[in-house]
Amino acid sequence: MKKHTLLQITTRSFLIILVVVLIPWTVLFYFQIRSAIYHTVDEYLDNRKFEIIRETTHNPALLNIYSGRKTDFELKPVASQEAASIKDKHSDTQVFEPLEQELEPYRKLETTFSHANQPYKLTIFASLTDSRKLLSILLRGVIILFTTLMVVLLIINRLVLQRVWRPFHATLQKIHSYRLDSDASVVFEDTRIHEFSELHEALSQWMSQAHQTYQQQKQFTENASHELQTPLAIARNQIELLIEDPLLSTSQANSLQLVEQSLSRMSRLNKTLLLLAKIDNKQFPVIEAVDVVSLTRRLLDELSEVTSYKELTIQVEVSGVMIVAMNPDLAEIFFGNLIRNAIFHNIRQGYLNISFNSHQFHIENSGIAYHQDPVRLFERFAKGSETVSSGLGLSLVQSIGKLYGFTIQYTVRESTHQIDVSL
Amino acid sequence: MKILIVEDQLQMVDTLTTYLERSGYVCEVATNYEKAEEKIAVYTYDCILLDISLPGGNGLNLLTLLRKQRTNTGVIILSAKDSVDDRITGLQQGADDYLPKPFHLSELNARLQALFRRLKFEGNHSVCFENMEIDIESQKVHINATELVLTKKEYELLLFFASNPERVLSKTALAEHIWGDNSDQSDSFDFLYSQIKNLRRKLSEASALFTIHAVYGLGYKLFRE
Repeated sequence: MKKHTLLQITTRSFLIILVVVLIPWTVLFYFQIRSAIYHTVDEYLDNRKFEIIRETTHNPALLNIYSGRKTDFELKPVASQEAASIKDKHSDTQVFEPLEQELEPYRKLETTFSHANQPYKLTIFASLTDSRKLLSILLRGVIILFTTLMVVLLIINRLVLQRVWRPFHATLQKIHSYRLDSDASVVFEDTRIHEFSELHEALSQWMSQAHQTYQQQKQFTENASHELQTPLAIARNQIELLIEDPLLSTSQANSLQLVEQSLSRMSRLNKTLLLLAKIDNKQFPVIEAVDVVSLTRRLLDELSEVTSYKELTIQVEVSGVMIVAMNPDLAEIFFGNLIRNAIFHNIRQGYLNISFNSHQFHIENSGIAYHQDPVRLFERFAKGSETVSSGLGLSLVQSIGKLYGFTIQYTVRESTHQIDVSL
Repeated sequence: MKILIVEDQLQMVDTLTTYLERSGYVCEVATNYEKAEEKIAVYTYDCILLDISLPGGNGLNLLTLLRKQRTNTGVIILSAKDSVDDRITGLQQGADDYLPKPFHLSELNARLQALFRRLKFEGNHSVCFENMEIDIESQKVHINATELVLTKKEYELLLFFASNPERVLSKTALAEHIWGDNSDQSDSFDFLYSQIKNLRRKLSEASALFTIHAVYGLGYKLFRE
């Protein structure tokens, strides 16, 4: 959904209201004024008609003087049939004004009357020019008034909105910079606006609750670690004491071995799950510039005996310095797990290629063909094939990658496994 | 050698005392902060195994107390927390080593020996077993004065065996010793087996008076022939 600012929305409503209300009103106003003007002009024409008829009745000689002359009326004798067809009629017309050299709007009245059994046709004219001018001045005034009103309203709206919402924006800024892991609560500025002060109260309450929950969860992580590790330690150490017993039978020894290995697997799982929880809780605040190239070389060196044991061909291609700002311990886990993963899930006499540039880490190794969705391998406890591993190695990679916003892409083509990490 | 175990979990205390006494150490126990404080003030120990979270106080404060006494006591922190912060603070305040729980007793033993070598036998950085001498400083191994050429992991394994002579070392303890937290890889046991095979061959070629024996499927043991 497209988002609009509050200002856009209110401005738009104002405009719609103005258009919907003012345009019909203006049109209506125009026609009303116009009809009032016509009414007055028509009345004038009617009065003039009576005036002319009265004048000519008193002084019939005028009939001859007026006939054929054009003043503000035309008078001409007509046949009685034609006179019968003429009814009193007001209409618009245009008359050529010699002074202005153009056609001007006029109103005319056509009527008939008889004098001494001779019917006459009388057409009376009245200029509309002044009325039209008046109308257009009125209309212009109205439009100017409305436009000014609109502009002023929009400006006031804008100013008021900015003023009224300023504390809100300050609050928003504070929420944006709030970090659950470091800030207990936030002090919002005082506001006279009731809604905002309620919002501040609710936010403060929510923040301190969230922070408290977060602290409890963090505490739980540590407690869980403590509570589980000690019994695990006791169980494992007791078995260590037991296996030194020279009187152990083979079957007892085999059982002990199974118990011992399960316990050690359990403690590794516990450790890794706690580590995942810590990463997800962002409990690794220290950040340093980590040189990935030298880190990789060191990790490969540490693993050199395994790689030679598996007879792997290793190639490292460096086409740029890769420095990442991240927690050094997490960097070691992240790249260590990727490299160990590529070594331990490799085949005998396989290969391992690593290449870098400033923002990309590419690791490619031979392995067993894998036909499921490679994304599944990053899920917790997902298993490739046979394995005694915790199934959490790549989950750790995933979590750390997520923490620092890396893009991790896993592709499997036949028996070639590739992982690309983009910063 | 006298060791003070500062630990509130009684079962843990029992396990540790049994193991350490079998190895010939003299053990004393403090199960809370006050007792530990008292014992440290009155007696002198060669080493203190210190749990940080104690009833009655933070174990790290005991380190300050120890430093004031200026004795030559080694401290190994045994913590269930395994947090980087604790590790750093602990080592900064004068602890010598940090071992997160759960640990292998054989690992603890190896660390204790390394600690004593550093504290007590200055100038004598070597571990001997039968006709073998391991020089910790130069990381060189001699059998009958002839140098035994080993890879890094083989060396680490042999030193671990020599620190725990005639004890059964479980495969997981060995794997964790050389791999640390990353011993959960699919073929770390295969790799371990190949390393031990190589070690055996090298030892017999150098006519060592001992070898590495497999004990059932459980683990391995340094064995006098």
